[in-house]
Amino acid sequence: MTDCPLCTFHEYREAIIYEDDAFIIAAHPFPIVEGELIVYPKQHYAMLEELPEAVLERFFLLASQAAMLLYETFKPEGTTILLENGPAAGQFIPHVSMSILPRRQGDGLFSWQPGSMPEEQLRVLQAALQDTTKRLREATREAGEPVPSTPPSPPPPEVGREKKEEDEEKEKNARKDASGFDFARENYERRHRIP
Amino acid sequence: MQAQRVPDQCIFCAILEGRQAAYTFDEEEGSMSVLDIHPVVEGQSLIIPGVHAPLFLMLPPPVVGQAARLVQRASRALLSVLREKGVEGTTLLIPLGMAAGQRAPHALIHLFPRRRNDGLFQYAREQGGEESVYATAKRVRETLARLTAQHGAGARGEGGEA
Repeated sequence: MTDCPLCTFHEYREAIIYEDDAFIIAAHPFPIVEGELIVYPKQHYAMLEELPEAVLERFFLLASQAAMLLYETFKPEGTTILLENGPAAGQFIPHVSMSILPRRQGDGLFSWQPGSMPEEQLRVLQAALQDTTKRLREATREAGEPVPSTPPSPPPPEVGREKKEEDEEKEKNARKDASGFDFARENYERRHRIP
Repeated sequence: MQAQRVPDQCIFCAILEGRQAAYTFDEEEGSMSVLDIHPVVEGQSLIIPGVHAPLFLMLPPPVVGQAARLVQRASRALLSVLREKGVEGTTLLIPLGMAAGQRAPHALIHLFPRRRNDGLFQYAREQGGEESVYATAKRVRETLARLTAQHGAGARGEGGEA
């Protein structure tokens, strides 16, 4: 998509941290806080709902690795992985991405007070969500890949549809990458306070 | 995948094992989606990875994959079920560490249905200065190079993950 800032962002080579044939990890061009990273698929998808399964899984894995890189670089007290899905959620670039933010105790970002809801209302909602997710699971199984819900007819997901074998290979590589970072996990656990 | 749970201590492991009641609405190979019982907005959900890990980045890749599939389905379902109530988007948050607001010792994904101008999370995005964006990228690239070199020298077995 030519007028999408993320579709052309990789031209700013100095902002890029990691690139493969399907994903970019970069310094966030519109950071909430300094040091924020962005992870996104190169192919243009507007929302989370449009991602084919192989791309979806790799996306989350790379976000997790970006969190590791952020930690190893800046040693923040905490880290937040954020996905703003839709304009109502603050998404202002129409290209799905995840943000990785360094956090400090008391920085006031992304906090919420636990609320409450009557049990009856929870039960009704649970039933509706059970039905819908069941239908989505069945549709996915039949089609062999996710069914787009409300996307503005994206181009055929070439990665998910025609390159299954390549994808599997890529996924395998992604797993190798992940295991390659294993040694750093111990550091992370030791220094990152967890509840 | 199931052996790493911590029985008797972690309430989310208890939910996964059916020892604790929850408003579960989806499952994927041992990982689960449930309604948050203390929601700040209707439909606020938790994706519970099927393996006990204190931080999201410590989860084995196959479990991250399960979580990703659950997140996508939950987001779709929330958009569909709550559309009439004005929900047009979802915010996904994964806090890592207490400073990021993580409250449970079990890595969780929080999913919030969003309405326009609901005022739920307040923050501003501004175009980063070129120098600062490039400096961030340079430092993280150096980390990646260092970790990659260490890994190469460290001779850790390939695919030791799963």
